[in-house]
Amino acid sequence: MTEYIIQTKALEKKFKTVHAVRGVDLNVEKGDIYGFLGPNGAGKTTTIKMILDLVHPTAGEVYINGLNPSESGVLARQGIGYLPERAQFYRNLTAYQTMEFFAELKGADKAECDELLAKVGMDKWRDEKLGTFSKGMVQLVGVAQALLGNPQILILDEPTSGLDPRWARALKDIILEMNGKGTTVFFSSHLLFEVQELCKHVAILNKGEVVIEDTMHRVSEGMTGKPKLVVRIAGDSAPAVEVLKNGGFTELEIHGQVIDIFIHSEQKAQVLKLLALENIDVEDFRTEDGNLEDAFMEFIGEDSKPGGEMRGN
Amino acid sequence: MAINFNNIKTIAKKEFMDNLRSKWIMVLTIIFILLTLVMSFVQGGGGLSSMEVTVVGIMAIASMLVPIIAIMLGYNTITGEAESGSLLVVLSNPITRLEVLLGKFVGLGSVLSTSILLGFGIAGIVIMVEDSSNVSGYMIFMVLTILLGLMFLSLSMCFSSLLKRTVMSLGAGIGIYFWGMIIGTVLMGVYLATTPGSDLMSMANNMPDWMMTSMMLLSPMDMYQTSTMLGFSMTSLSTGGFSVSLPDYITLPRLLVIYSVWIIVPMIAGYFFFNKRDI
Repeated sequence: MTEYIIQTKALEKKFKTVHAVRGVDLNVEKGDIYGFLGPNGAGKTTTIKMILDLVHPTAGEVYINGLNPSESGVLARQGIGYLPERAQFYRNLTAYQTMEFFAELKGADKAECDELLAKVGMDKWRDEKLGTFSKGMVQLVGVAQALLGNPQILILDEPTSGLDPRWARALKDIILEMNGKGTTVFFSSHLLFEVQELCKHVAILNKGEVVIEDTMHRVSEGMTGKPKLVVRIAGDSAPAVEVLKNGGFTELEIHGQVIDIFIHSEQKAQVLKLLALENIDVEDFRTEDGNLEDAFMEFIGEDSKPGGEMRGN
Repeated sequence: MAINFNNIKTIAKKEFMDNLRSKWIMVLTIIFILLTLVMSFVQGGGGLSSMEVTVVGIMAIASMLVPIIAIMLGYNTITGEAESGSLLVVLSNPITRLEVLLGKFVGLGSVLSTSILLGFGIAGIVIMVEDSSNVSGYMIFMVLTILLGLMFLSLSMCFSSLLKRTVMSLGAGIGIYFWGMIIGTVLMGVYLATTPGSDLMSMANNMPDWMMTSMMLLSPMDMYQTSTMLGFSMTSLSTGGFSVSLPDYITLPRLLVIYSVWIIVPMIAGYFFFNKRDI
């Protein structure tokens, strides 16, 4: 039988006005990188908070290593590194003092404080107060504290929010490195492509319910989720396809007058310029950034929102 | 339930470092020193007056200022940290909510005590040079001032555990403060309005037991001033034409019990609210 390190059974949370989580079953295997996906407001954060017993479930159960955190909280929370979404810490403490504080709570070796600050590039600001930091810098300190004491489980809630792309990539390396050392990583995201390259298993939450829980591979068969530019050509799309292919944009999907061009968002100006140069009349265009909402719609078979709307980056 | 004292110490140390560095705590400490010395000078007519006289002059101001510091330290403890998200990280560790609450109380209480001991202590040492006859009374005054602060700290932390948002707990803090300021006057009003008689002066001087008892139980400011007088072995006080003598059953140990109840009961209630709370 598979050993589950985190398990939730029929987990339910009703707030006064919102039924945020409706019977969620999750099964996270030991040693996994587990993506917890869903559009904003799907109930991801509430579920994570219930796993950690920060929010008390209305019904259902949570098990961490077989322990129920609402009964044996101290034992269950041993060896967990957690980074909530957009956390702020203490304005008057320095980066090092913040690390030292959490190291003491975890019983971690204090030598790790400096090592981890260096790992997230914050060693230069070791003795500066957090009150003077930007959001991204605070987030990096948050990442560093979550890594203290070589956690057995790493729970990250939208960890890349507030990070610049360079550090978002570095965070992926850190996740892989920790996982290589045996840490189970559970992280939430509303961006599919962020999860796609990392996760072995994934659950998708929508409106408080799990839509699917399966391997990343099986789930991604159902949807592309890649960033794309969608253009609607006035008249026949064949010449435009020709132009795009000659221009080196070969990943195309053609639906009549509409062409989906799979590109990175930096390239979209280049595509539009190319079409304009070749006198191809673009009626309308929009970008899709691999946002889960779009991918999710694709997955459940509904078409994404009608065109004309410029979204994403 | 096992309590891990190391966790309490860690939280307390953090609160102490985080708050002692904020400027307004320093400012208030300096205000304590200056106010005490100025009061001592004013009443001493050129030189410093005795500790006893100084304290009688200063305690009304202390009873207004100390609750403000305590409420400022306490009102935001749970609401603020819950809103910023740092409490989420703290509570994801192997620590109980009781340890977090006690650690915060100890840490913030230490900030408060440091400010009071430094402020009134430095002023006290200066006065001691002139007159050192009442040092023990002055020490009791400082301890009682700390206890007054801890009462308001405990109360404001209780509301911070109960209420969901910082603005609400700030409102509660302001409410607690005004209750502390006016309840004595309200009680006096009730007494004067319900008791037949026309000579207000003699009525105030001959308060019945129920009135005196409810003042001590419900009005921290009056209880604080009364206990400070008892600390100097004074049993009557003449101010502004009033000469109030204390009945025998009001003793310092009994008042210390009231302080303790005011500190402990809100903490227990606060723990109950905090434990039930969704962070």
